[in-house]
Amino acid sequence: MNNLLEFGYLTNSLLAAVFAAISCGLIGTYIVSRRMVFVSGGLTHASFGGIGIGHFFGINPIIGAAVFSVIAALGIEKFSNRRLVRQDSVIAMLWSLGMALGIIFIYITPGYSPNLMSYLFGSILTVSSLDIWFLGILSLVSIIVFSVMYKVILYVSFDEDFARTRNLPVQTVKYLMISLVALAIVFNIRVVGIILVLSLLTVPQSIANLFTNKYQNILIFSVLTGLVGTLSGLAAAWFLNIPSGATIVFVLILMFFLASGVKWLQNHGKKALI
Amino acid sequence: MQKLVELKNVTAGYENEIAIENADFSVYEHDFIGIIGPNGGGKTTLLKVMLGLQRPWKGSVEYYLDGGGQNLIGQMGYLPQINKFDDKFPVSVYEVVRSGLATPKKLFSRFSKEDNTRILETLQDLGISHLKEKSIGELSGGQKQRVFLARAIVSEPKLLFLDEPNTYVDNKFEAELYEMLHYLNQRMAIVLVSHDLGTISAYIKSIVCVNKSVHYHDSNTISEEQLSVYNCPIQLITHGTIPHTVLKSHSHE
Repeated sequence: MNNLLEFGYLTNSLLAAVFAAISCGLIGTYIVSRRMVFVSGGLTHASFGGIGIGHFFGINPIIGAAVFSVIAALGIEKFSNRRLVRQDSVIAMLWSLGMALGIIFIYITPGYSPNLMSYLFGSILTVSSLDIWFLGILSLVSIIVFSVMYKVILYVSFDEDFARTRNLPVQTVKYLMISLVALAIVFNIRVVGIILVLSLLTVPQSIANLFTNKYQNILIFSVLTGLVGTLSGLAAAWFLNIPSGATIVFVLILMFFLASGVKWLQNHGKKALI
Repeated sequence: MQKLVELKNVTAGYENEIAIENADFSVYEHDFIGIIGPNGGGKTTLLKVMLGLQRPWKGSVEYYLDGGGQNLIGQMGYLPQINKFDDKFPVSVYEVVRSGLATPKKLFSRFSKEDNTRILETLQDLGISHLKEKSIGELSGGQKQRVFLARAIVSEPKLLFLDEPNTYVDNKFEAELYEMLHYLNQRMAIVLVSHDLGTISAYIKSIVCVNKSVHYHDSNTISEEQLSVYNCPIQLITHGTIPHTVLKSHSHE
């Protein structure tokens, strides 16, 4: 019985690791290429507000966080063109407002209070089937969006104004993509947690970017490096009995340093040989 | 001559600040207009209003290109200021130029063979075929300007807008650029924003001075008196046997 339970956990965790690598590999490429890491950090922490509100009203906290983050994301995108307030200051406010709301709502909810650590640092070993469904559907949607809309995503990311002069649906693409960013963040909170999710969205891309300058290749390599990172991190966490989210992030960053070393040798080794 | 774009008493700006006021002029076929004015004077805003990227607060911009109205795809080429680009952005020269042929209809289909031929021809015309596979960050300032010029003209527009194409480039490239524009001017009208019209003034046909107020000057020579009437503090352009630039002295600088 115990073994069967463990087997169930492991399958769920493996699926979560695979879907995390796919969704973050693709959507992270959009984030990194557009230099939206700070916005993404803001959304990540804002989503904690949604978790608290969801908890308070007795709905699934991840659904609460998804709704909250998508609304926040669309808001940021809508007002990012106005110069009235500095965008980074608005994001910083949203960042801490989310955390504040989360804590307040969790505190005033009577009775059982959830394990905050699991939201902050993730717990891939206890993901539910519903979480897996969310991640799976998000991965599928990301694959479809990036293969069908590859060109328009690339053109809008590179030069919005020029894309507008070609009558491309710039605003629609931006709204769609920022919503995907918000969902990728929220659903992956289960895997590595609020504090660590940004690394899943940026480290694989940084590794890929060391070896290729083509958007398409970065998409593919990011998913692959992400897979290696999440799966080996998960295995290490399982066998060493240490926290999974932190291990995955540690492995990914270790991979980045190894890759940088390889890249350095590639550049300098050649010169040394000649 | 056929009228391409007409600005009727256009006022535009950002938030609560007016950037340009009462712009009232037209661009015709084969025009070569130089837009000059001090930094922050509203040159780029004027360009964006003409491109339809920014809506005027007052007045209107009317297009007389084929199809008219909103259907302007492929008829206006645009070369923005290159300093706004992210050098690390992972995109190849070929992809950048190809985006100049993008249309909403073509987004979900593959580009055609004709498109590919056109891209390669344009790259060749501008002497950058060998850079095709390079990513944009690996290029020099002059090479980048060529790539963005290629992107702007690959669709054979009737009207070409250039925003300071002579920044971040050396004198040799600048001279080549003006020759290229002179050549392109045979098949398209050109509107060029520049902080320095000295060397190009021989090819320009008319001048627009922008310093919040917008004045159309139907000649490629302009005197100091005229500039001061236009309230347009900028370096002065004169014509000799060789086109040259005379800098106006600024006591406060």
